[in-house]
Amino acid sequence: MALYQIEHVSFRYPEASVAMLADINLTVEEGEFVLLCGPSGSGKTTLLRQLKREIRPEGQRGGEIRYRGSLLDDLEKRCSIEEIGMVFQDPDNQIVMNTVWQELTFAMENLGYPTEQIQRRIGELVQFFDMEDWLQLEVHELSGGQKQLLNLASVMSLRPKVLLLDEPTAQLDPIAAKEFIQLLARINEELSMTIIISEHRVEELFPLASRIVMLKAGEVAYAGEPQETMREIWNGRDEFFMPYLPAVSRLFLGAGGMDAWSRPEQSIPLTVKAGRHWISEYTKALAESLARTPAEASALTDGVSGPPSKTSFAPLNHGQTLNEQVIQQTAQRVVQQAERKDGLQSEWQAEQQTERQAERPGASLLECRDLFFTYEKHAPLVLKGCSLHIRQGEFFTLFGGNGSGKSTLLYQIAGVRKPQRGNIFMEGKSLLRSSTAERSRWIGYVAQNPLLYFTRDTVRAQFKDRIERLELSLEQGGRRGQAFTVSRQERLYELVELFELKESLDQHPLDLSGGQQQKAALILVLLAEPRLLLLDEPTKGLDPTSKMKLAAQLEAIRERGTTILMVSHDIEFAAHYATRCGLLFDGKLVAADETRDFLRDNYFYTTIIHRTAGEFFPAAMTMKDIEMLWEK
Amino acid sequence: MGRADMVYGFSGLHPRLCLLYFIVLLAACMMFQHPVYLLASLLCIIVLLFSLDGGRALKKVIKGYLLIALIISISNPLFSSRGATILFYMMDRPVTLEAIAYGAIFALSLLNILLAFVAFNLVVTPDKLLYLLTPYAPRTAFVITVTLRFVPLLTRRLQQIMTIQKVMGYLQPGGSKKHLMREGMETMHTLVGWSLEEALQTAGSMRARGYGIGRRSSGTAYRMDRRDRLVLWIMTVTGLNIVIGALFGVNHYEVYPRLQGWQWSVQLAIHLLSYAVFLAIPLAMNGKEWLHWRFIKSNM
Amino acid sequence: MGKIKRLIYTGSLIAVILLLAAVFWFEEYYLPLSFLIIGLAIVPFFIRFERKKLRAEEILLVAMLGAIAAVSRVPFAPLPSVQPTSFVIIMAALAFGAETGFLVGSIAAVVSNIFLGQGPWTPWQMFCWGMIGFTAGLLKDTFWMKRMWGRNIFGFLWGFLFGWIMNLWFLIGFYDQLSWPVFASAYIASFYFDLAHALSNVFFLTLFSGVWMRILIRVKSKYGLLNPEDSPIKSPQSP
Repeated sequence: MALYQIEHVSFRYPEASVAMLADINLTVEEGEFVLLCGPSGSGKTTLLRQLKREIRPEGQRGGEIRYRGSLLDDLEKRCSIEEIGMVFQDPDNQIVMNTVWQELTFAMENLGYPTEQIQRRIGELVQFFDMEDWLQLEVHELSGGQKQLLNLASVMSLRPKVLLLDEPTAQLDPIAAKEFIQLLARINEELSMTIIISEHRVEELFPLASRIVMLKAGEVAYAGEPQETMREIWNGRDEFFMPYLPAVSRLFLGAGGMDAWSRPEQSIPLTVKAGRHWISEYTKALAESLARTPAEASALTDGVSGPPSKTSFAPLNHGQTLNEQVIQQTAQRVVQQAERKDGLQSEWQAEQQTERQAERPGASLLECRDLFFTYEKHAPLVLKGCSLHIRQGEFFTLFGGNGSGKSTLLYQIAGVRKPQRGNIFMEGKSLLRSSTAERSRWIGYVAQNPLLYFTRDTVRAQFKDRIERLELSLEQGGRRGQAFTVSRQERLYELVELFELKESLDQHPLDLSGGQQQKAALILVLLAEPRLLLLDEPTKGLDPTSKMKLAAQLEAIRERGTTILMVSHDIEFAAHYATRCGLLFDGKLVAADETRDFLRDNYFYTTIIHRTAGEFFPAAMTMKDIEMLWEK
Repeated sequence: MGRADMVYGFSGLHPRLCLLYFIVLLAACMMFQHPVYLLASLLCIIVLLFSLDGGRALKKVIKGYLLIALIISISNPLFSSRGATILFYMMDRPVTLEAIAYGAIFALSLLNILLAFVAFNLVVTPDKLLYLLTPYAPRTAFVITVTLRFVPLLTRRLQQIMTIQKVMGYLQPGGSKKHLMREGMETMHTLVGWSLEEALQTAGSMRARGYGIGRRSSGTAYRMDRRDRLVLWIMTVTGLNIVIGALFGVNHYEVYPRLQGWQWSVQLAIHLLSYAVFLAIPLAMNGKEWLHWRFIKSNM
Repeated sequence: MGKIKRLIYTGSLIAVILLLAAVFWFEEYYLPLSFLIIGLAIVPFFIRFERKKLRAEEILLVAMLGAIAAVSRVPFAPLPSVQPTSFVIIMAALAFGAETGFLVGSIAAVVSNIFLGQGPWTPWQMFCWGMIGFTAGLLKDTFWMKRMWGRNIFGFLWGFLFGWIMNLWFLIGFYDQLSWPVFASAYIASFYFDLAHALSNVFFLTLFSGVWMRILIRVKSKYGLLNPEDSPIKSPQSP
């Protein structure tokens, strides 16, 4: 018997004009690992919430959901609570109790388990989740990753049959997210628990999933096994869902999609390891075959011609030819080893050089000189002689692990805290000596959480308030600062257009979606026309579609003369869009270089494409690069 | 707040006994006006505070508390002219020895109560208090726990919001009081809207894990062991003796109209002894622990 | 009004009267008695809270508002005399009623004392803040609480009353003659603090009660707590 039978399920929120879910049909078998993908607002959360009675939102429901054969509504209360577990997105909001221990026992206490049973289960859980060290702590002392583990453990204490997870790692840093996902894999593997998860981290989750469900606008766009689904998306030329596939798989499909399709036994690689294996096998095989018939190869080369493509998915227009190109190229590389490689590289370097000159106006915008900082008198230093140089018009990305001082550095630049030693210059002028008003006009800061910015009832009122405050501060500041070419009202209009927020102007800021809130916060900051925009992990929790949009919007802002300094964990995003990158470690900037050079020299801190194909194409960082190589 | 430094000794007793001890101690501090009793209590509480955390908590509060005690002992004779022994006149009002003594006694009593609460906070930690409250008022205990969980969360959020206000140029150093109050309220608006909105998700997570479907049980259990029962027995015997003695007025002390002299009696001796034993319970337990560790250390 | 509700209201009223009476009757045991009576004044509200049928949302609402009231000092750290807690409690009571008002006030008192250290003042604070919420909630539908001046007078009076009741606990216990000069000098000593409290209530109520009402009414509808007899303050439309 299937665990869940979802038949013709539809759902509409009260007062909403469009249905959030429309005619969803799915069957989930016991022990499956189901991955729900799709852009924000496609109904993933709504669908997950339909699967557990206690958290179903108010609204108009249609269709039937059966859990182990019986209708969800007929399910016994206790059974529904115990057997269906749910972990939500935000680690903080789900925690109810004050200490880790209390939170772990919360669910069991609610159901009135006897004390001995509770203690026994806790004993087991703590072992499984490796929580001994922090079992006695209070909740506010935990990291985000620990909080989410705690949430999972508390749900697991009831020994559910199925786990529902709604973007559980969206708020976590990559390392904590990986740990969390590995734990899910163990739960699925060792306990054969059914898992239904909605998540954007496809790289880690595709290899685990037994089934992929792609949602779009409240409907199931694709549903099936990962291999099948990927082929289906690729063959259907579905550009919308292509970014939702793992990078390695896209590389494979882009290179040999048609070829692979003709040989169904060849499975699509999902991980770096599999991808690398595939590339080396391929190269070897082709080298052999080409060595036998070099004439054929050269004939093929001559046959290929086509304009270089700009979009990431260009190869699907001529997948076949591209595939042969890469075969031929790699083969050539094997045959004429050294020269070929050097040639490619020098070519790249030349191209880079021109690119650099084009992108670097040269003038220095911000300089941090030997910053030393600690939060408390006897606490260890967070910044230890950190120096950073940002040039006009750059898009600089700063990487660094947790506690490396990234956020602290941003705070220093934004003027929240002053360094104990060192200085920060903005176009040669010391920021430490300038007034708060001046500094807040030059530098904009967008925090991770957009909710920090909202004080008014509507988005429109919020913008109006911001403009009024800016005018006021300018009057007080005696209109030094920059002169504005357009009025703020016009600027607001432009920004609202750019960020597609026109429809939402009269809504309450808290009623917007997370993505829209982030845009509203960006607009609030940008209204001051800052010279330098500081972004703290702007891509956290965003779906691939929104990321691409955000990149375009940031580009538009940069064109207007705003320099961007971004702190991020999102290497793929930086590889595509940043001009320079730096790595902060132990309170110092240990590396800073043009994006491409930076990533090429890195071993861990580099893109999946580079890790997969780097050995064969040392200059390749993104799908785009690989395609350009193939074009040659 | 949070975990006390010492979880052995007296703090390791069953929470119910700790609470009982402090109730009796506080009642005694409030009701007994005999100077000997008050001094004995003060001495015991101070030693207890030192044995609990090396006197750190005591150091933090002692200055303020002494000041309050001083104010009371000085101001009482200024307002009250009761008593027969007139020492001198101040602003045409007689200042009596009795009024001064009364002021001193009550200042001592207040000091005892305040310090006993300091010790109380160290021994009966919030989680123990909530554990004790749960069987009688489960929902109240639950609400307090949840509120406790929210306080650090909201404090952190407030700090984040204020950071943003600062970066946006709204919070400037040296602003007027009115400006600061206005901006402070803006901070609150952001917090209130945001936090109440997100608490809805917390409600979802509570219901998803079965809150409200029936009577809650407890995953924490303190069990009365042999030592607990022994201490309880000592506390009951001495405590009852104290109550009975107090009812018969054995330790009654009269300030007015004239300071009472030292009247020794067998009853008073027994009573005082009981009180001393009662006061010594936590000291003996902590002292034993202390000796134990010293002994181990010297044997290593 | 339900039977239990009425019983509790009268019960707590009697408790308060007893408290005052005790001051005059039992000279010797003022202090323990006053604590007993304060306890009796608080307990009925909690008994009712325990008995009532409440959804998870309503419980969280009380906890969240209590926490908000408890941390509301944080943004005003540079201004030591500003006391926003009472304002938060008044607003909570105006939006959600007398009982919620009492609970929010007294829980805010307990919780802030857990962080600052419990003391003999804890029950008194629970009582005072609870009563601010309770009275604000009781009066929320009267015509003067719907006016700005009415709310301001209410806030101003409670600013002083709060200080006066808080003075009581040690005056009762630690002075041998409760004469007018004793009271007067204690109240003169605390006048500055009480005035600051009263004035900050007035300041906040004048400028922010409209905004807060809008925020809380929105929350009310989101939590599904909206009932027809609503909003004492006609919330002005946002600009």
